[in-house]
Amino acid sequence: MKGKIPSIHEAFNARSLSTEELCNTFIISDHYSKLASSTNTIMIGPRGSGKTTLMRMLQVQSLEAWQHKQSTDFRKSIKFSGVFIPTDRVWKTQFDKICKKFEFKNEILVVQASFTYHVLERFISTIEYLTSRTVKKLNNFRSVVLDKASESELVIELANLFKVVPRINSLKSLEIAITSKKSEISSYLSRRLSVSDFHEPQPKIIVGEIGTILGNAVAIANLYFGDREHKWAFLFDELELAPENIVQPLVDAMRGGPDNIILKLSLSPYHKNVSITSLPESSMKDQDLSFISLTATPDKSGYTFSKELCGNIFSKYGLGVKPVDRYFDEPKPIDEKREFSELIEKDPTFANYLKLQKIDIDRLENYTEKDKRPTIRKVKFVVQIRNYYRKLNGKKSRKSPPPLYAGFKNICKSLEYNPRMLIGITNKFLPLASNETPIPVHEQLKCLSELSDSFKALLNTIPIDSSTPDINTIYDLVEKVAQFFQNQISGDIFRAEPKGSLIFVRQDNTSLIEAIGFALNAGAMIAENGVSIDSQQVVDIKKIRCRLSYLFAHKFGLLMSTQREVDLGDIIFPLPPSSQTEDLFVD
Amino acid sequence: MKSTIKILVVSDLHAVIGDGISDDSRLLFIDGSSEYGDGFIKYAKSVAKDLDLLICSGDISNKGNTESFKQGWLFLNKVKAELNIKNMLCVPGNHDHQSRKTNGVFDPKHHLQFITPPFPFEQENLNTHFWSWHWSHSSNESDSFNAISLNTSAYHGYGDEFQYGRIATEVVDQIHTYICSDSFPKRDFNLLVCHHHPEKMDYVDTNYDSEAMEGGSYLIRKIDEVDKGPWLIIHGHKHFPDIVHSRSAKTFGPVIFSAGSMSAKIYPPNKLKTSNQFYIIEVDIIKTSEQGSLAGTFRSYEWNYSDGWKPSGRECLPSEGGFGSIVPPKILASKILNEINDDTPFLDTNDLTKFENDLKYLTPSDLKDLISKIDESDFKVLLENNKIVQIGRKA
Repeated sequence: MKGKIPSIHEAFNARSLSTEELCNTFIISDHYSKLASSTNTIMIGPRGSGKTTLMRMLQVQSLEAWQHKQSTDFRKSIKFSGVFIPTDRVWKTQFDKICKKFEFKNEILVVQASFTYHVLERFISTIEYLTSRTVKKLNNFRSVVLDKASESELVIELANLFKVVPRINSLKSLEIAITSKKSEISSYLSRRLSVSDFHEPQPKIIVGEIGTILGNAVAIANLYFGDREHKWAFLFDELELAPENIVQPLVDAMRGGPDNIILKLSLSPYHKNVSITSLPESSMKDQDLSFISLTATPDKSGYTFSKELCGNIFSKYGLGVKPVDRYFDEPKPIDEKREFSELIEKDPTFANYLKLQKIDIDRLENYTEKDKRPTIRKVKFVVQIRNYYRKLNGKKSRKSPPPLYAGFKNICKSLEYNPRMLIGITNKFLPLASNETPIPVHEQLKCLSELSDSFKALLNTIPIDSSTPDINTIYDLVEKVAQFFQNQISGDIFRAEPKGSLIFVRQDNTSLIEAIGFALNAGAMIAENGVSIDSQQVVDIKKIRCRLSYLFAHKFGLLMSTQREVDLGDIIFPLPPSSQTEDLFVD
Repeated sequence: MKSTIKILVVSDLHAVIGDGISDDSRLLFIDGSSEYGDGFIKYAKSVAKDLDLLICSGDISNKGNTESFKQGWLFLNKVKAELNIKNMLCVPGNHDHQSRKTNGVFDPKHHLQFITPPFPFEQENLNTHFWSWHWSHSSNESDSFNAISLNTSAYHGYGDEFQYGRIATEVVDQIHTYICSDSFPKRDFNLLVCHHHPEKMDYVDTNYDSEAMEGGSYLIRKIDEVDKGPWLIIHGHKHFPDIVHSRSAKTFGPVIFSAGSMSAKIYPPNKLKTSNQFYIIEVDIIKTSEQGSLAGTFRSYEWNYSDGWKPSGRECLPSEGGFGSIVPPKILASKILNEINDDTPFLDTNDLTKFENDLKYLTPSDLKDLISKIDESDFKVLLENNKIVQIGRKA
């Protein structure tokens, strides 16, 4: 629908969507099915990977309102009442300020209470929804009938536990009282931090471990529900924004907690000072909890998801006449003979490689799986990229990306199947799309470039503390690594297996570990999961392998596939040439 | 016969023309279009359906600028067309008259009389009467209401008249004679639309109000004493919204709806109390007819930078409210509290449905009074968007 410019307000952020919009746009995935299980779960993924959407779709209000044909099955199979708990970014700021000054050590409990009240506020809001006599419900998902006299008694008990005073003994009033308490604490802390001669008494607050407090609150609620086994899932979102003093107790609470309390935590891949399995008394992987990783989405499921997501957006704008991928022009298939022939002319190191491999380009089409075909298949994309960029005199020629990154499938892969990025780029494609002519390759690449430029601008705003003078932001680090990988493919020497992933074994990497963590959290780097998707190693950077986001592939002429690894230290702090060995033609 | 008459009220647009940000108004026209105006239309379409009437109570322009008046007037016509509203009532304000300019201006209202489309009425006879006598009478097709449109800036340009509004006593007498006659039939209710406030509003600026309509109280008295249906007076000028029952010799006098400004930048002293707003007033014809006094509800919408347009969160005026309740708050409080007992320690919206007919017509001040009466009796009220959602014993 050419000429149609979607509104800027359609930029996707699940946190701000109404329940109805969330349910209407939700796409079911394996991740959701796994998250819906009655086990403690840690879900890890970079920004925009869909964590908030998945969490919100487990809260009772969403499951009640959801009208998808599979929603009934999920309502039957989900055996808990989900309480969605977004993170308040203010906590970290307040916590950091408080912790910096010794004289504020008594205030640490007050900050922790702020978090506790936030959780309790959402808990009471959920109870209110489940027991509501005024909200019209179609499905009555996990609804509970509670008469007013019992509700008043319940509120009296909980108010006493929470150290708040509601105006009337109703759940709604209790929720308001907790909100007021949060506000009181926030105002108190602001004044405490800004006024030098401060003599105000601390507000009356609830004190204790979050796990214990929730256990007591749940026990009281369940007693009045007449269902001691009523299960509750507390869905903690965006915990990467919370201080570790809040996150670690939650992780620890996953071990040996009450059976009717399930904790589901959403985190970025890297969270400093938060340990899942390193301490004996901490939560034991696989025994107490399950992991869901939204990084490095497999191609098949990622593409299926992307097609549905982008297809829905196209349909909304009158472009649902054909499958969404058909709205995009495809790059021409690789002409192996031409690419190989041209590169031989430009690159003697490639010619030498073919000679060593005994590959005759005149017989290229005749090779089979039993002889040279696997080798040809392995190197052909390296050849294509290298050929695109190299001129006859050996210099790099072009600045615009090659067409091989275009086509709907490649675009989705470039974006790592990240929902937020997919929506962002689809909104860019909408004015260019029509039912008659597909979006040309050059327009696709232009949109991809614009998106990666925006991402670059964002990464340039994230400073890092490194000992290297030319690496001051996440993007500086990305660029350094990308240039290394670029040289592996398009540099002076042809490499059949160029390096394209990172490990962090060298001891002098320490200063950059945090930077890598930030890059993982931003989605600029992607942890490669290896064999097991339940690996806890994603939290410990020194034990993982990662690569650059494919969003940079078109900019730097990189491959979008698994490649050999190199230690980050070898890129940032290269050893003298004599100490380096490299097998250029590794098979 | 319709059971309600729905009116979209905007006022004090103070339209400006320019190429950047205006210090005076958000309704800035650049090359004939306004982002603020388009946003208003889009939002109004989503919240306002089946409207019977559009009212603008003046100050379409800013500082007598003829070009911005043209844009503002075209904008109002666009609102009428886009929202499918059949009728429009508009009056000029002090900013629409060129009352303080001297160069090239021979008549403060000349440009208003010769604009296209015609202002303020489509019909020439109504315009002729309006510009001659400073008022005009019109009614709607379904004959449920009469409307008197009044020009309270008619004398601007003479001496210091520009400082306030005025209706001459002779004009009041003329209107009175007219509405006593058969030419002004008895209807379910009557509208009076004017720019200046007919009663002083000293409380707005906590200062003596010298801008009110001279002759305003005489006007109210004279229209009120004629038994041709209750009156709703809608005015602008103060940029401060309010709803009151006017001073009257009767128990239920005319309702005065003071519209806030749709787009003028709010004076700093009032920024905390109010905002840029528009309104949807619903006059309940059936209830008005039953009780013999005007009854209805209103909804207020405000604009801010972060959210754009949304239901008002201000005290003046709140997102929902009413007018015309005939049950005193104390009696209503007593009736409601009688419903609370040990089995029903608090009332929710389901329980309050039986009092809906009394609650919805309370003005914001009456609602405050009701809450105060409930509070005095050791009960508490929970509000959401200025509506009572729960009442219960104090914890």
